[in-house]
Amino acid sequence: MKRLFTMVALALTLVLPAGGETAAEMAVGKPAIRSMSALAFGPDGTLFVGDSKSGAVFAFDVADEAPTSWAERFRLTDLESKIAAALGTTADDVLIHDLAAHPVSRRVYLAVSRGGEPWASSWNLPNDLADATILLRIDGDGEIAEVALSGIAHSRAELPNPVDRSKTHRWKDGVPLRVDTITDLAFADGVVYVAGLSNEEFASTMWKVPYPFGAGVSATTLEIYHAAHGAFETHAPIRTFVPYELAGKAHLLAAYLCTPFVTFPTADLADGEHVKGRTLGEFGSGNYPLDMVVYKKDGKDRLLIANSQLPLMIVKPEDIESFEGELLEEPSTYLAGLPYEYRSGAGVQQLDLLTDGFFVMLQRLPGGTLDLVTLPVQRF
Amino acid sequence: MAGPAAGADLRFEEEPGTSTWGTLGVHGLPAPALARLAAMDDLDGAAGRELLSVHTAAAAAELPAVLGRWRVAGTILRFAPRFPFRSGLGYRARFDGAAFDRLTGAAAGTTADLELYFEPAAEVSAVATRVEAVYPSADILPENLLRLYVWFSAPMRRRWIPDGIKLIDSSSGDVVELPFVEVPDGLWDPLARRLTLFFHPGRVKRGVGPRLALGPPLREGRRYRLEIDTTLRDAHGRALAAGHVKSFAVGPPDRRSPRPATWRLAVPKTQRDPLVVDFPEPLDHGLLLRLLEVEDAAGGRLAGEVVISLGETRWSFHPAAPWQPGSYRLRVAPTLEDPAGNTPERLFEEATRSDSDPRPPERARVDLPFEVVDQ
Repeated sequence: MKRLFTMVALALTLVLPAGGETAAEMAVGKPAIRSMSALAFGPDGTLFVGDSKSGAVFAFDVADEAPTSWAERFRLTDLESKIAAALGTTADDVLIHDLAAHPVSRRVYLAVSRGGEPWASSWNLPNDLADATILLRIDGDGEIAEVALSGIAHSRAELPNPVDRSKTHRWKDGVPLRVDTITDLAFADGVVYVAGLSNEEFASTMWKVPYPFGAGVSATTLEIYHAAHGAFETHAPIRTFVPYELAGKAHLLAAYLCTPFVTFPTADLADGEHVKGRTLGEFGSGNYPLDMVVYKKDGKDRLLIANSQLPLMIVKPEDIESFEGELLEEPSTYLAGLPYEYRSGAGVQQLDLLTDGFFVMLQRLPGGTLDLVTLPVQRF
Repeated sequence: MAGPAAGADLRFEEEPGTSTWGTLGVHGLPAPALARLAAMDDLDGAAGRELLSVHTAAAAAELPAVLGRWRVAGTILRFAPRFPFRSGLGYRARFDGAAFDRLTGAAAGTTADLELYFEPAAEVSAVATRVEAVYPSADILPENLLRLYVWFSAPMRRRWIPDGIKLIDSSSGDVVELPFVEVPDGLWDPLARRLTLFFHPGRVKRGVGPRLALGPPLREGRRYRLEIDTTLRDAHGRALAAGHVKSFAVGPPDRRSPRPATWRLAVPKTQRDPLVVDFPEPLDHGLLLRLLEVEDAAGGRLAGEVVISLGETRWSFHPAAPWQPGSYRLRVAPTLEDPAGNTPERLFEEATRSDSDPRPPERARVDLPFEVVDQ
């Protein structure tokens, strides 16, 4: 009898991946996506969408190949009012949750919510306040269109053990931890890397989701020494990261709230392991690093970081490679370690590389409006 | 060949509570012309946008039109917005007669332009939003009260409407000027059901400028009314169903720390009993909801439901799973406050930690151990 049960279970395991939405093949129809928490493109234009509420990652074929062209110094003023007008509402009713530039068409994709949830605290991020359910794209003429999800080709991968829905944030009043199930994601070498919070005792987690979806998802819990806090931390998620090769070995370069800068060798990220990152820098307290982008200037790789409370920062990969040891002591100020340069650019809430030569940014201006701007990488 | 369109008419057909909140329809267009439109590939696209556009009324001319879908439904050219029209907001709809003539092959000038301004009305069917409770719930409050919490029955629009909430000195009838910290969008919880009214700390704390200039917002021995009127709007833009008044007298200031050692714990006697904690003085309602936790011997936090009663002097914890015999502790965060902002560690008027320190407080918590014994 026992043997029979085993066989049945085995048969189910074999059948399931071929049937449901977890299959490698894309299904055409409306994906059951509940929150577009984070966006990232693969190099061919596959859009990966992290859905914190569902605890899943989606891949969308957005069928967008014909390139749009952007003026060199393009500025779309007061983007929130323009999006609001298209959604039939007012600017204070609109939140932009994430931005990603399509690597082929160069259109800019935005995850947006409509619902009147303006920021009440500098600690709040859009995902703390609302679930993005609207996908928009903007072309080089500044035209705003909705990407209809009703008939989109898509596939889905479940994240094992996402953080429980009942857990709340320790000091953000009433914010469920679930909104940080997925804080950022990136595609490299056939794998979607997904940073966020799991339900493990050490909640900070990096999932590796092979793409096309279907094969097993691995989960690694993460620990860092947050030197500026003088503490080991496992509960705070990575806020932004990029895959990057250091001295010939694949790494993830990651930044956290209050801005520790940490590296993880990708090879260490095995399923079920608990991995301690190497803290190389402390870039300032009271700050969310929002986006991190690798670009090339004069033939050399550079890293540009956009921040919630600090200006833009430039980090040189050669400084990361030559940095010896790691930060293991609490600095007397909030700053320590790896050198970086500031660039003007306060209030940059979203950042991506639009082409090799240009960034696209959403920048909050002193007057309160949010502009979409393109800027040449040469300025950085 | 298009017939006369003199009778054409642009209407907003309201359907509250639906996914569009209503559609726009052009009635009275000639049937042959409509048939030509219906056969066009881009009616639900460029042609539709040209024929019938809707803008938010506040929007300047260069702002995008409202996204939506166009179709011919019977004898009507119809536009349905992609996202619901918002009640209380104004919209301008425009039907372009010249574009209609060109697209349908009619002689130029046959069809007149039509324009319509409309405002979707509020939903009428749903239960109206009202004030559910104001905390502290006691009738006598300390002179150095720090916060009032106003709970609403449904999510509210996060707008600070200072005129909608007044504090009135009942003895004189005067409105108390600037009693609360003014935050542009108000201090709301994430669901926008709880509004925190924070008395201006500079007027509560003795010896600082605002208090010396304006005096304390509340004075011992007087009576006050907190009046919430119906100009506050809920998340649908609707006015409150009714105003709300909280009357209270003001007693002496509270300058004593709450002392967890004086709390009475009624330990559960059965697996289903709540843990009941009684305090000798009321504590802050908002903080009681989140700064007391129950842990098991292994340090795991118990899930459960918290009930606050008896004028914020009782905290009851109903565990999600039945109690198991063993050691537990009630963990009291050092930041728990009484209504005057005093914590177990510090009086409100003592120096506080630096505002620039973003870290959650990591001082030692107070633990109150208890045992659940096997029955």
